Amino acid sequence: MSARLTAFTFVCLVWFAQSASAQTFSRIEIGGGFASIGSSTVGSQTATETGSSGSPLTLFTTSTALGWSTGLQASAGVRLSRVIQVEGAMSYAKPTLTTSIAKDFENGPATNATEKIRELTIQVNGIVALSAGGSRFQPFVSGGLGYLRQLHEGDTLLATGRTFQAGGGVRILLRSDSQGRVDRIGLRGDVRVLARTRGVAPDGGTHTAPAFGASVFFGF
Amino acid sequence: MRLAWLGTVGTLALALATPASAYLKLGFEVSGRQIPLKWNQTPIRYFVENRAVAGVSPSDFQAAVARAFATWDAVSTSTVTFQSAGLTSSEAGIVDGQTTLGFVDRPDLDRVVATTSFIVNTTTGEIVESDIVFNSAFPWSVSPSGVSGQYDLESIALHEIGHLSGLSHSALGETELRSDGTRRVLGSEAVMFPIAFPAGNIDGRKLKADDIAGISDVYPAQGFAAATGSVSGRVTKDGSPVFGAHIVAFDLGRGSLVGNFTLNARGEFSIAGLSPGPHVIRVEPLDDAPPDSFFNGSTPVETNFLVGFFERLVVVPSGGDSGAIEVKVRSK
Repeated sequence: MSARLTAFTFVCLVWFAQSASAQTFSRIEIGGGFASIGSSTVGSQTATETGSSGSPLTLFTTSTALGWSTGLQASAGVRLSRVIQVEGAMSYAKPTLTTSIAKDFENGPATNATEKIRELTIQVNGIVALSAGGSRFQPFVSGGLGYLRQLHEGDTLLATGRTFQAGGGVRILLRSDSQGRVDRIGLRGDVRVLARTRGVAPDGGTHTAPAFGASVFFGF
Repeated sequence: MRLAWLGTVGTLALALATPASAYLKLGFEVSGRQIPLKWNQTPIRYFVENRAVAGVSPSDFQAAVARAFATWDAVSTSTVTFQSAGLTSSEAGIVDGQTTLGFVDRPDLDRVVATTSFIVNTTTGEIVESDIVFNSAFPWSVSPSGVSGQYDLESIALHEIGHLSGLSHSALGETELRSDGTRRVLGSEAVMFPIAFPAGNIDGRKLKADDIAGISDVYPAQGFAAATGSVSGRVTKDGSPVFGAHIVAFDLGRGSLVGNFTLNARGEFSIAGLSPGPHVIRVEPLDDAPPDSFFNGSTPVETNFLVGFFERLVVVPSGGDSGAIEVKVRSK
């Protein structure tokens, strides 16, 4: 539902955008908007007992996933050249950690046990424009790494890790004014593969998920 | 100082009502006050009876129990230690001021492989003397790889030394009822489970997470409380508290199981010594071993309910408690 709302908003803004005047090279760019991160399985663990026959006895099985979430994102970047930009970005969301419990030895019912996670990421990204300018639509590729901070429900325990992401997107210039305080205003949409390492993942491993972002940016 | 001889483990199981406590400990009740058993001074010195039984020489016996004591000694989160005082001609099970391990021939006790008895200070609960008696009516083995049809001495000693140290039984195990009324162990994840693996099995030589949590709770090493946490709450059925329910906390990260019981009329429980992180909570009736293996029978144990799981992941913090939860179970 939230992903659809994000996409709908994005399309509306593009539809009503004013045509851009001559392209302007903005040194600094800040932006804010929404980010959606897909779900990923973050660990499976079987509760076993030492079996008298020599093989472990399965008491029950578990599989844990970090669910889809939509949250806020913000970024601030510095353009190093016409095509290369470096930015710092933050995102905040509240995904649900869900453990699916099944195959209980004594026929206990299959159950989902959940908790709400508060997640903050702080990233440094490199962005490379695929065109030097001259068009209202400016595709780009990006990649970066960052810090992952996840708080368990009730803020009882902190889990940290790293993030890695790679992907691409497009900037759509809505307004360009070399005389004004704000050089450019536009929309930015991107699709990425986000990898989270450790954090709340019970297996302590690295897990990937698709991520989508939509934001408004301002160039100075 | 008042001393008293306390019988074997089955008569001593204690229900501690203090929510902050964890693991079922041995103890007794005096004037309404529940007193857990514990050694106040370590290392705990023990003697080994200088008597052979079939297949086990005194030196074999001494070496096997020494390995078992060393296993408990090696728990880094516990301060309890043991020291061998050598062989003795004194019999185990006799009140003589020394802790002795030995054999006794009791063919009448055809379901009792070994027992542990205590002399305690009834005011403080301090264990003054504790003897372990192995029933020589059963066949015994000290072979490193075990012998089919013979009980592994080291495994049984490891269990009894847990009692000697003050631990009661754990319910972490699954059994099936035989036609003769006895129970066969299908699986167990605690050395302190009351029913032994079949003769010949040597899997009982290794302590599990549940045993380590228990001994560390009785004799915590410095930093243990700060590095671990607890889950507490209550179990209810149709709004009423459930006594004697078995609750297990499963660590999603480490895959370890630690259990405890609802220990009072309010259906309250506490499981301590858990590593920080999210846990799955499972509740089951006490139906894999006789309830009197755990409790002294003064309060009826509720077993008419189905296995259930708590619908939330319970996050154990470092040095703290998860916050009280309520696990609701359904009747069979």
